[in-house]
Amino acid sequence: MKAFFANKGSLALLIVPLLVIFIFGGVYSRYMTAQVEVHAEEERIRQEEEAERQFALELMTMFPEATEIEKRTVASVEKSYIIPGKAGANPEDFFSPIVKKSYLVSDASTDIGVIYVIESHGNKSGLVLVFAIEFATNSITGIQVLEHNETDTAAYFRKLGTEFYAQFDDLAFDVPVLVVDAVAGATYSSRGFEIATLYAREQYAADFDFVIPVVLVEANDIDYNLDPDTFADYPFVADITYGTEAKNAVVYLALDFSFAAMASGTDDLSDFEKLEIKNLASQAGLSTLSYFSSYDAETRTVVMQAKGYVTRYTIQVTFVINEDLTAIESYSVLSRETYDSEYNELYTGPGVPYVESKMITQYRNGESIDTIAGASAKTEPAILSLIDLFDRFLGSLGGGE
Amino acid sequence: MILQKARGIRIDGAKSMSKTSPLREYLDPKVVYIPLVQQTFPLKRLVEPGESVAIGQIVAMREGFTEMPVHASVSGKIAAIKKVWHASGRMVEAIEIENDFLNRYDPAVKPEKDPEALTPEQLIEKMKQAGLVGLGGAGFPTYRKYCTKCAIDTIIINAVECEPYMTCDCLQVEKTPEKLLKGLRYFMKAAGATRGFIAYKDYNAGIREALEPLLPHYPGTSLFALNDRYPAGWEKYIVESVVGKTYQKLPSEIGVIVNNSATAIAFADMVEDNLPLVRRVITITGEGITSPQNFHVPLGTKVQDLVAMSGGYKEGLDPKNAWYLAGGPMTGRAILVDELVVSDTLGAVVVLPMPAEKLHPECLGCGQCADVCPVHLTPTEIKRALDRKDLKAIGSLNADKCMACGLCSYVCPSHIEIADYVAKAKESLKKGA
Amino acid sequence: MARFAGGKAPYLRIADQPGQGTNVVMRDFLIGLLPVVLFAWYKNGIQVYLDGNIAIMEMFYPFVFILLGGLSSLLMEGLSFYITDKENRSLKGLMKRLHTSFSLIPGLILALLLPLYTPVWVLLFGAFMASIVAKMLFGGFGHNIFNPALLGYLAVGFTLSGVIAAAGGALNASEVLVDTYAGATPLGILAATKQIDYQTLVAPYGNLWNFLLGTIPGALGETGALAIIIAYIWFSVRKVIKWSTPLIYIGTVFALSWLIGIFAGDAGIWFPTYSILSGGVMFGAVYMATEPVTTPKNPWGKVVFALFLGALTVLFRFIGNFPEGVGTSLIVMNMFTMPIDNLTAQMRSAGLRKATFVKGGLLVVLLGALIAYALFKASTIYSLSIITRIFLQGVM
Repeated sequence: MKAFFANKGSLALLIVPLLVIFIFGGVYSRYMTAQVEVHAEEERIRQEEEAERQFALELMTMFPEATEIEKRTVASVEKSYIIPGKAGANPEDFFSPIVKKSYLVSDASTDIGVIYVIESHGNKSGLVLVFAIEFATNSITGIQVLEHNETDTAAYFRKLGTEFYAQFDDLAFDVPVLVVDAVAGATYSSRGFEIATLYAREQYAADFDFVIPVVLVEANDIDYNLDPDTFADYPFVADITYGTEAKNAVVYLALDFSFAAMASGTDDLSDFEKLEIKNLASQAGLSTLSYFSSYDAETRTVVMQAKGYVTRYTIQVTFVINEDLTAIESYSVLSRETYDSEYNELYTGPGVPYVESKMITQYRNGESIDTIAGASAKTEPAILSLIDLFDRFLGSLGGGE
Repeated sequence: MILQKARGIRIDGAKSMSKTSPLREYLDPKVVYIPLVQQTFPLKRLVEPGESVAIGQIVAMREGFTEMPVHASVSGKIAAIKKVWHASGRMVEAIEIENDFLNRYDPAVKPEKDPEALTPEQLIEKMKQAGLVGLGGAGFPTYRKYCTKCAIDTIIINAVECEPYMTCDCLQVEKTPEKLLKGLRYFMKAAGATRGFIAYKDYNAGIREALEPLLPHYPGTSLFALNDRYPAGWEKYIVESVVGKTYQKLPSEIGVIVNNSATAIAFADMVEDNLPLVRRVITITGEGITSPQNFHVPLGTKVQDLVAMSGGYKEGLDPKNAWYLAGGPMTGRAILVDELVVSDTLGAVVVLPMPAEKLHPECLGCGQCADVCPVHLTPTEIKRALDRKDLKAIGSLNADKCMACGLCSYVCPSHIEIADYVAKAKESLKKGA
Repeated sequence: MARFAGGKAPYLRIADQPGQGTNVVMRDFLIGLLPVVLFAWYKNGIQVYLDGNIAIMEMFYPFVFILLGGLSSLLMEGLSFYITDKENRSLKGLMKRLHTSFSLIPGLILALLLPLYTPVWVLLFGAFMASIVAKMLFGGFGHNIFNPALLGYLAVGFTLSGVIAAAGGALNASEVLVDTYAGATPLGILAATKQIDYQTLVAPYGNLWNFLLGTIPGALGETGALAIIIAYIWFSVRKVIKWSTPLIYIGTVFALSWLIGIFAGDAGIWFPTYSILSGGVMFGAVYMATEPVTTPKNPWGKVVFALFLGALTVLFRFIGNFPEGVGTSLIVMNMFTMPIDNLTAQMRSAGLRKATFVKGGLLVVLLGALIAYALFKASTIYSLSIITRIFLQGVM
């Protein structure tokens, strides 16, 4: 070893530093090159932050007296709404708005308001709205559309004009029911705004010291009105407990679930409470496709209507119940359905009222009700609803004896 | 400037060393050695050991084209014929004369009755008989310069003394300005010249102060100041500066003769006192000398004596490891011993400690040698041609113009003996031609 | 015999005096590199760090990079000596040889010529090309024909420029943020657009003061014109270089660029100023056109060299597709160093004779032809006005 260094010492002294340069320098320059990417990323973030800051400053102008705006972290309230235009029958029909960003706005001395950027759903998803909410009045002071995927033409989204947006000026949250008036032709978009507004209030209530005024209505039971005396006028009946005193009442509801009349108790329901009843009823899963027209106890004849494909005419079915009030004695169908149109001319079976008759016959015979090939869009649900309603009625008659 | 002709460069003359001490007379050395060689010509000895000689007595003859006598410089007895170190860097035979301290002069040495009445021919004959040679260092017999067929109208006295360290001319002029002007007048007369210039370096104010008041007495004479440049004392350079003309080989081509100031002073003595060339002024200087000074001494004086009179060697100088530069550091020769005798061409002995071994890197290519060359040669190119032994290229590069001033080597940062290469090239050109 | 005489006349040497000699020349040269090295460090390291765009480790990189260039050059030359000279393998022997070989300089200059984000292995390759191929294979210091650093630079430039670009290129972390730089050096823009227009060429980089200060994108050492000028003054005072050569070279480029500018319809003084301040003209003029070994040695030769170099630079820069003309023209002129030196040495020593005028005339005609060609070609490229074009075509 010693001899080696004596002989090759200078060689080592030349080669070792060269290797050191190669390795150290190589690592160093690799590091430098890697840093290029790092700096690019840093710069991207910096620019994003800058854009964010600019965005916030722009939002701040929604409060004329604001001098400072600060981003705040926010946890979105979990709440689902039916997508505008959907029936709400399937889980896919629901969506949950989210708060994308939120800012706390203050003037020289105190916090004066909050800004929410909320993603809602109009005709399409991705309707992003900005709400400026003032602490002092608990009301919206301004709204902005940040981005949307609506059909941006004069026929649709642009119908939301000054008048529409004016609704949001000083729209107070401090009311039991918050309504945004829809604009015809842009109903889904309008509904998207409404959902966003409702959600903004939910979020506001969750984040700050605000309680949404509620209508205290509890539905003990909401069902079809099977009472032959009234069921032609009031298809539904609701047993409710309402008000701070928890009063009980039974009310009749119209086919659109709106309050129609009191069945018992005095009519001291407020409009909000009535609306809430409607709201509750519409969520009770009751069908509006069929209803009773009349019942003759003498002849045991019940006349029912169902809303099928043809909207102009209902399908009218007349049942004659047997004397035991346990089964159908006979029935007749008066239908003006146009299967061909309904089923895109895929229907090839016999003519009207084949579908209705077949389904009712199967019901009468206690068989399982078949789906008619290529015919399940309108006529079938209508008849199913009608059969269900009739079955309940039959049950109530039998139970009454 | 870039295209302007190179005018040499300023070199630290190191002259103040020996200039501050006055010129000392030392006319009685115990023994003198008259070298039996002048330039490279051997002399014919005319005396034998044991003979008694007087000052000014002829002891040897130079023969041939430059025939002339050589005289004894002290009175005394011929002791022996010995080999001594000569300024040419070789050991040569010399006549050893033991001084009898009687200062006997040869009978021929007597004041001239009427120096003004001498004809030019007589004056030239006097030069010859007095053995006058150029005391500036070349040692060329002066009379030959005057035996020219060309018409001479200008005599220039060279008191420039551009060689560093040397101060002998300057001090001598300052001490005997009259003699210088007289010498100049006799030279002018000998050549039939109408103009006489004394060229000196502008910073030598002493020369101007000494000469200026005397000038009116010597019609036709004037002073000419040159910049402090090396090689300002080069004959061609002086002639070009003074008369504004240049020549190919000899200044007589354009009617000019250049003489050293020491030569002129010696000539004045010759004309007026018939004293032949037996004495000269020598500078003993250099970093190795305790108190550098100038001595007026008989030719043949041992340098060792002069060194001893100058306070000896400085402490710390190893005499074995020193240079004794005969004739100055730029154009002189390095002798490695101090056993040197004063001869006609020895104007100075500069004692320097020998430098440590030098680094010899490759030629940088800085081109400073080309920059400083007074004759605008490019030494690097000449060296390249020499390496290729390309005589034609050497010729076309005009290597024969080199005047061996040594500036190229002087400036070389890499210690390349570039002047030596050019000298070799010049030599090969001579051989080849 | 020489030992006997104890050397050769003259016995005084400038090199013996304190503060003189080859080592001092080298020391002065290294000092002269300092302004440029420091500027490169300042611009690409310290300033960027102060801007907050890089980490402190990255701040040292430009300086370390340049040092590594010099060091690797030194070591490679040492290896070369070790291999070729079996007698002097001891450390002492090697040190002595390296001492007289100026081995640091090629690598240092090479590093200054390269962009900031050059990988170190590329630097090592360049240093190998410079020190070993361009210098040692030619016989070592004093025998090389081509400027070692320049050859190394061109070798890297022609083979590995893609690697350098991939590793990050010339723009430092502050410069990449400037949108107007668009990843190009000023000359790159000229080569790409072929437009002589202040708005295109200078405006993206601010103004010409930035060109002078060197706060424009470019290789490590070449942009700092002011630092180079300081080095030039130092060199001239210390007589490391002949002061006239850079002036003549830059002057030639300046004058020809001005003419081209005039032909292209813009007689503004900005264009020639831009021309000499961008790219490697300044750096080449001070550090390379004066490099003693590979340029002529005699004063006339230096003048001729500088004039031709200027004309060639303009030709390559404005006509070719490569943005940089300095390096190529220097390499070309390196090849002509010996003939120029020889010819001018003859002319100079001969003085004002007939042969001198003939040779001089020949050079003038050559130079004139080169300039005329450069101007003519440039005029066809840079949309020149019709009248001058006809005039030029008539002349040609």
